[in-house]
Amino acid sequence: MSDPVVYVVDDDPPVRESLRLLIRSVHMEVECFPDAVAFLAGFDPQRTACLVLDIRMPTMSGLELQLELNRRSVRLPIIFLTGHGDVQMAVQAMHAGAWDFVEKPFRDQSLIDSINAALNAACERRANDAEIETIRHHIEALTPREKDVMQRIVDGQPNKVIAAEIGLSERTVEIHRSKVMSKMQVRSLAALVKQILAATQTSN
Amino acid sequence: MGEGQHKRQNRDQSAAEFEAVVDAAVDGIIVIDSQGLIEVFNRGAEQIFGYTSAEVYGRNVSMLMPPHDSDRHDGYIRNYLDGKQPRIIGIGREVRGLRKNGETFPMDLSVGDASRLGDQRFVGLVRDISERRLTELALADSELRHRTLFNRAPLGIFTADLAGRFLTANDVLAALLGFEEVDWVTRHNCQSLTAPDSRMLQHNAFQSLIESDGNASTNQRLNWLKHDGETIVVDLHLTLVKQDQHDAFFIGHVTDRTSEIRAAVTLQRAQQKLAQSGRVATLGEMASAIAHEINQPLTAISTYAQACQRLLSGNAPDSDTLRDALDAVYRESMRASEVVRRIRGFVRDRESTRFREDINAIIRDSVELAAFEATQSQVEIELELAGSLPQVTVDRVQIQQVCLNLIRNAIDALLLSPASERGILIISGTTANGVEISVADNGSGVDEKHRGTLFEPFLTTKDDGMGLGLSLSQSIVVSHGGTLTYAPRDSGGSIFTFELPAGQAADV
Repeated sequence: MSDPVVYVVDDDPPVRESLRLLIRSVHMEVECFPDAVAFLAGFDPQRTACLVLDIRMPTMSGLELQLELNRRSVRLPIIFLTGHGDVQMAVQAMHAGAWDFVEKPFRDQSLIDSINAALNAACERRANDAEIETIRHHIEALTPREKDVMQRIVDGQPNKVIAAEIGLSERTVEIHRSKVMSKMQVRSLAALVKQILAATQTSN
Repeated sequence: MGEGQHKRQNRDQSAAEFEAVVDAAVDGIIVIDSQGLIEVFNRGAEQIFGYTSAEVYGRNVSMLMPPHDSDRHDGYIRNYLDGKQPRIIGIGREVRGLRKNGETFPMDLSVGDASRLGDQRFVGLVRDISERRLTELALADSELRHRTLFNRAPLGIFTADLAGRFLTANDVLAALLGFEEVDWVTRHNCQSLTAPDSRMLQHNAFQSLIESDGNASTNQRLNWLKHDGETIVVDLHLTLVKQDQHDAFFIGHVTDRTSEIRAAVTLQRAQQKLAQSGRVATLGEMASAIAHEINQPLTAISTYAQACQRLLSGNAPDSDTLRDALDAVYRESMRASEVVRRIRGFVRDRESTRFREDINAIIRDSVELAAFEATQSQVEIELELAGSLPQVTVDRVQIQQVCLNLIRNAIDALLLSPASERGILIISGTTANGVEISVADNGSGVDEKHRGTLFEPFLTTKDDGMGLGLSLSQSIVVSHGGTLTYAPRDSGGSIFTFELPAGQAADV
């Protein structure tokens, strides 16, 4: 997978270019766009990334771009660049799930810290996504009988009760249980419960 | 006495009688023979042409004609005698004559064939019409001048009879009504070219003049219909001219006001639209926009500078990159100073725009600009403006900004009050020095602790404010030689009052 990238969208060329230089000076990859439309056409949704976004722009504002990304289910941490008196807009952006705000002109360190934190979050989110993806794959490999047994295990039913309720011998249930554990690649009941919780939570 | 003698005597007597009759005639009488030689030339002819009869007897009549005609005269006689179509004999026409003094003149000439008097002879009757012609020319000239005056006047003119039928109309009126020819206008009745909603008004105007003593006039603004049905707005000035009981007619002067009124309506709409979209920036909003414009280059400068520091603290700083960054820093600092220069220029330009103004008119304008917001916020604005205030010498736009700013502050202050209790009262009045304007609201008032810093810049209690509105308002008022003060209202709420000196304002 390629390195994480910092996307910058700002309509003011000098501000945009100075951001490019600053972000490069700390050896991060950066891609700049002059407006929201160019960004939507040019960014790579598969890459681990964060977005440094000017809140005030003509045609499509930073806020509108944020809403559009939400609509497309693109989960990208957004750091808004705000000016004085943009409080109202900042509150809106916060409600729509903004990662952070940096008021112009900013101290370089606060922006860089915010970018680092956002990229970490993006990485984590991505790793998390990958993990959940794996769990889902494992679940799909189970037979219907095994899925049934797994649900009862997670619900906390002992083998004996499961056997009685689905009309199998306790020994057969025990074999199904072993196969569930090996297919899900877990060693303990606690680990299995954790995985199932993670998978079901994000699917909601 | 022999018969011959008697005859001769008779003849002599009748010749003398004939001569006396001929001489007594007012018109010139000339008799010529078939060669064109003059035989008779009476007193009238003598007076007209300036020759004595002795001077012309036996000479060719062409001597009495200007060269062009005299050359052809012998030919005319020959043609007639040859039985060809007569050009003048028995007809009479207007020709030019030549006087002894060389002057040519217009004359009526009728020629008769008098051959029954014996040999072939012609009798010419001449009437000098130069005077008549002069009068006619003068009349025609005067007529032309009046017609030009009538047609070229910058307004439509018509005459109409008492029933409103057009008698005459000028070109402007025809064009105004969309007719190509004036004749088309005069086929109409005034009422038939009037829009239905104006007919009653116009009818009454005609009627009231008819019932008056005459020579009275009236003015009306009316809607008329053009030939193609389009409505135009006209000012009609109608006069009744009464010569006597039976001879009376109307003179109408028509001015087209359509484009003027349309322009006014368009302007009014634009103003309303402007006020509704809230695009009239207050001082605070302007300051905010300026701050944004300066903040952009400052952001770029500070970011470049910090990036440079980072690059320099790295292993191998690339000098090209650093140079480019420093170039950008320089450019951006120029951009920021350009913004500042523009603001200064704006302020300077405004200094020459102070005129004597009616402060009440400025207040009304400001209220109109704030009307939409007030309605939206369910705030009622009441005016209590004193009459006959002295004029103030102010920059209208700046003082309007002060008023607008105070009104908008008041609206903001009222938002927390119940809608039924939101009211703003604006009062104007005279003071010892000039005029005083107060904007009072019944909102929550200004906290005790904020009162001391009310007019200081960058102090605000609003989330999105710059804290510049009151501060700038105060500087504007002070630069006009006035004061802006705050007072709490006994019943709660605020009163902001600014005073402006009457007459010449002091420049600061």
